[in-house]
Amino acid sequence: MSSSWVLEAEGISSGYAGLKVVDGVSLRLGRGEVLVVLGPNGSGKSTLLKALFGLLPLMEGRLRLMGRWLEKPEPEGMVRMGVGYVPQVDNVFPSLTVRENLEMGAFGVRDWRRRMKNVIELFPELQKKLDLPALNLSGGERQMLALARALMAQPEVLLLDEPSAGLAPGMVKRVMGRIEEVRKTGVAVLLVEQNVRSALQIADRGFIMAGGRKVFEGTPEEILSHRDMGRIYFGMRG
Amino acid sequence: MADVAQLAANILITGSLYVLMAVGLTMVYRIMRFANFAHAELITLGAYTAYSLNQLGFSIYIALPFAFTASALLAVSLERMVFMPIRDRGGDVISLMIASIGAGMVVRHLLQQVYSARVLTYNIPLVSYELLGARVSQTQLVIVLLGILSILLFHLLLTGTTLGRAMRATSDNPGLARASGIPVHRVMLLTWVLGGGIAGMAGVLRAADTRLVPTLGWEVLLPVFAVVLLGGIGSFYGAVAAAYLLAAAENVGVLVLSSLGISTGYRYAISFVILILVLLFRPHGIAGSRLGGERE
Repeated sequence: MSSSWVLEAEGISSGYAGLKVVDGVSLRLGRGEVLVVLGPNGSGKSTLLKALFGLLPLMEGRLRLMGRWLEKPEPEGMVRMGVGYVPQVDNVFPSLTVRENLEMGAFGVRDWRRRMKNVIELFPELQKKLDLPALNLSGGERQMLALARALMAQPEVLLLDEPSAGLAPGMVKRVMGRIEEVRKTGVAVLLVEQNVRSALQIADRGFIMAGGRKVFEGTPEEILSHRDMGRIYFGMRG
Repeated sequence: MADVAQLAANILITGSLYVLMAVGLTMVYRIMRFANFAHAELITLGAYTAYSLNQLGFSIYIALPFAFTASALLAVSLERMVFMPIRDRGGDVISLMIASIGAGMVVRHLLQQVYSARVLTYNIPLVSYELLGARVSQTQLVIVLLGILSILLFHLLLTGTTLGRAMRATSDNPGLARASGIPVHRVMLLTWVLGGGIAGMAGVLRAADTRLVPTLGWEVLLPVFAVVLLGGIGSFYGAVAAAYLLAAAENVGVLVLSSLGISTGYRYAISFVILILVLLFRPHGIAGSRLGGERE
């Protein structure tokens, strides 16, 4: 049976050393859609993203990518199948130049230079910095590079872990703007964020996590007007 | 003037040998993040492989690729049979380091069982050349040429090839490299092959320049570690600079010690005094950064 969803997760549970951090979360992500995952610190958002990308083992549940059920997701396979992942921190190779970082994003691809030209059109601020080590970039530029590196693999799905973390408000706006532009190219984006208002401005749908579980799902308007938002963010179950 | 030329030649010879021995150790550290003490036995195995072939009538220069292969195979075997299982079971760098000391001892004693603990020498023609006022043997000339060639080839590999850039990316952040689709396991395997193989070739040249005993690699491991630390752990370019710097300190030191009537057996002590001073004032070494690598 064909599916219009590019990524589907059913009852995903995952965690570290046998400890369940994400508990029975299901989600669906369509082409060109931005689905935002919100929740307080420690609610399991980043763990969910790592489990979906295969960086952590699935304790329960199953995953479907582009209509194919996956037995055991692992990062190399996920990249080959069109999933890009941008971690919250340490998301560039600091000793490599910007150009080399982009090349690594399309490892083994012969025409990576053509892809780089396309990606640079989306992130023109990187053009002048191509020969600089990533170590010399500002926080915002590194986030741009991390996004650009992930796009070099021409993913169908992008998993982004708090791309606005630690950025000044102006830079947050620019980063969110780029994610919006990426989405317009048809890429599905699963965005984990702490910055609720900025994230919801570009989201089609979202859900809130608390204690490793999904506690509310809805449109940005529904989430913003949800009466228990405050309580959830102070660590209490809604 | 001839003394200065000889001193310069000696520095070049010692430095080149240190480069060949240290490059593998620093590469493995850079990617695997642990100090591999079994590197000493990779050096020694290469030397004994060449000895076996030399006994069969082959030149030690023809034996060099075989020494490379034998030591590369040992390096890969140690990774697959010892280090990888320890890492997979959550072992930390201390566990890996101790395991490498143990694995090295096993290999060293196996070599001693096969070849005995006797001092062995290669059957090589004693040819020497007069170059710019310095007298150098054929082996020493090969050491310098191979040292310089390895520096150039590694520079080209790390900066001029996708694979080399993938090696640098993996050393920067193995997790991100994996998430970028870089075949991290293949990159690690290649690192062991190159690092082990070059150590094996260095062992042949060291044995040809001195003599062959089962502790050949172990004897030079401390100065080789000094080169790696001085250069900045995990830094290829730092290791190259440190190799020649340490060689200069040792060779000048030997002259000073001789003129003072002190035993030249203290030559390694000079290197370590310099090493301690550098680490006191620049703990990350010459070219190392807090990343554990360098910025190429």
